Amino acid sequence: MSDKKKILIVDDNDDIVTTYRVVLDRMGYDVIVVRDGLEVLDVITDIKPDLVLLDVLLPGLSGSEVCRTIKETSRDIPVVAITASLSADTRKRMESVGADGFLLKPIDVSDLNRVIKRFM
Amino acid sequence: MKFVKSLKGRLAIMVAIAIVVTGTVVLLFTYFIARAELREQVFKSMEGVVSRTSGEVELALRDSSPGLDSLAADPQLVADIQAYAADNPDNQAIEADLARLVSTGTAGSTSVTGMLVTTMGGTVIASVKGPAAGGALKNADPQLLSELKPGHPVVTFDVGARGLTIIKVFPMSKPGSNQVTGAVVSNTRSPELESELSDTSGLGLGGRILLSDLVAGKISVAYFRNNGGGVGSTTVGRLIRLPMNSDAAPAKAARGEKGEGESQGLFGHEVVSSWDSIPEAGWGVTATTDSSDAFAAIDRLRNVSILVILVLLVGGLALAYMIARTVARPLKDLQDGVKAIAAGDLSTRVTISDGVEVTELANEFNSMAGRLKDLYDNLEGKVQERTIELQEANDRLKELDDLKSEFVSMASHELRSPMASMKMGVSTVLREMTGPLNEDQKLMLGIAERNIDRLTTLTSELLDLTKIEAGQLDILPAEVDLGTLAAEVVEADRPLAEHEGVDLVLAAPEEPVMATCDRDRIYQVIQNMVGNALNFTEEGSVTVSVAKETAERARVCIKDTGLGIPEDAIETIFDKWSRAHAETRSEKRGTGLGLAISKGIVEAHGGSVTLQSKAGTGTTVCFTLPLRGPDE
Repeated sequence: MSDKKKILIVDDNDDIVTTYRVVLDRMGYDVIVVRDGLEVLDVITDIKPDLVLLDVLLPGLSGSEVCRTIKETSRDIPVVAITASLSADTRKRMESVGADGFLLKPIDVSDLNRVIKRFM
Repeated sequence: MKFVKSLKGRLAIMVAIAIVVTGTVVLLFTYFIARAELREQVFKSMEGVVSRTSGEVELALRDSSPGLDSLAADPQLVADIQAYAADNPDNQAIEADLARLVSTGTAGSTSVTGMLVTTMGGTVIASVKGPAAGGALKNADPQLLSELKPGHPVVTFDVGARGLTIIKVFPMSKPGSNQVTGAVVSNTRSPELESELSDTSGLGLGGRILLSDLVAGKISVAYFRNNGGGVGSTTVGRLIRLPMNSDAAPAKAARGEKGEGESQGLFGHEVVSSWDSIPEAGWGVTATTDSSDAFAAIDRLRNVSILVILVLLVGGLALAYMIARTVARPLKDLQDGVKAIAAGDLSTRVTISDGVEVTELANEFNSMAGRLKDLYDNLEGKVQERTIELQEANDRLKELDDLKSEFVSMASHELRSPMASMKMGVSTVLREMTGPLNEDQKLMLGIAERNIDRLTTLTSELLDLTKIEAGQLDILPAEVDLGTLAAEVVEADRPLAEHEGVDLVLAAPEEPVMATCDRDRIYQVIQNMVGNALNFTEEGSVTVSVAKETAERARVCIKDTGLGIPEDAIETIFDKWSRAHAETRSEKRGTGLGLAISKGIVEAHGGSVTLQSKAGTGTTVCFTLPLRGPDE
């Protein structure tokens, strides 16, 4: 059992996922990738990640629904929503379902580091 | 005809008819009443004449020969005649008898003009002229003589140039026998009676008095008229014989009838007559006058009436026309006003001061016209206002649209420059031209380079789309062999196809398919379609076929054995940002602009794009191009 912190990435873009993996691996985190919302629900209780990076625009279950489900089953896991446009609507919707933080695409590596540090 | 149909015309005709009918009825009524009245008067006057004449005749007969009644009883005469009858003639003795009788018989107003004795055959035995003799003695009609009956003297008359002679015939018979053997005939004249008979003053100018007597089966008529010289200047007419059953008024009078009426006279004129009988003499008397004379006055009235009716007709028409015009003029003015308004002159007003109703109508009309004008002016203003507003909105919209196009165009250009340097920088490092890289570095830079390319494509596509939407797509036409062009695309995409494990096949005819088009743009279209096909085909093949569809048109089709497009997505597949498979992995996502741009390019060339697909079995997308190029 490794003592590394676990970060669950929910995104369907291979390039982005790869980039996260490389960057977070270098930062010293365990990276688990899930490509759609339904899959998240299957793994969330088993994996018990320390942080979830959730892309708002997902195929299948929408980002806000995934977020609500995560919060219903494991309220303590912080969820950071990643969006391409940080409009007031999106922000409100995600906050109402329990999102703890936001990251705007394109993601600056230092911003990513700061947000992760805030929750762990 | 228009006049008759017009209000004015009808009014005129009605008024005229009313005037003429009323006038005519009144005149006719007056005429008939007057005529009846006049007729009554004429008859009355005639009856007076008849009655007077009748009395005069009776008087004359009584006066003509007093004592003559006893002629048949004169013993001397009877004896002499009997001697004569017994073939013992003594004519001188008879003549002496006659002379004695004449001298005693001449008295009073009448005068005996002579006496004669005749046999039954009419042979004169003896004759004596009286003191008032004039002309020949008148014998009796032989027919009359033969019909004489004993004891019945007969009175008749004759008319000669000198006047009226009253003839009395006394039958003579043998004593103790009923056989008539001869007759004593006396001639008398009565100037008073003649004067009376010529007095036609009560009968008018053409008046006549007729005496008639039924003698021996015929009717003798003597007529008298005044020749214009006053009372006494008698013109004795002729003696006329009529058949016994004649319908003439004198014949009726002679037969003992009394009456009056209008009929055809003896000489063919229309006459008015009144007649009666004189029982004492067995005669008839008739007063008659020409109808034209009798009714001269009334006929003048009739002529005047006709003239008056004609004047009424003309005058009535004229009057009616004037009345109608007076009534119709305001209506005509109104009509002119309505016409002017209908023609669009809303400022028209009608001035009428004639006739209360029409004046009110005109006032209403004027206020209506005023309201209409206000409404119209208001409406015009509003339309103008709205038009300006619309124009402004349209201008703003066009401005915005231009601004958007300009913005996209500028943004695209501005994006290219930074991306160019990014691409150069990343690819230089990635190719290890600046030093060796570890695996993670290569991986990250590879991702970067791929996404820069993607962004570049997206930028170009946005620019194309903007141009297509603005209708500003530049086409540089050239003669292009579509087969060769398709081959180039196939060759360029072959490595990708092989990597995907898909057969990429070209089916083009040997001879070139020459079309006039923009080489680069059509290359872009084929490349986009082949790219889509490869993107959505996991196994099987992608076939590019080029053919001359008709003499004027080429057809290029790209057929794949891929996923196909769901039926509900086919309709929107050509819309921008449209993607049939949203759930497809991101690396397979296009921008969603490619097909929209391809369609725009083909259509700008004058061609068309069609797509057939069935989910699960594949898609065929085709486009056609006119061989002669776009119709400029």
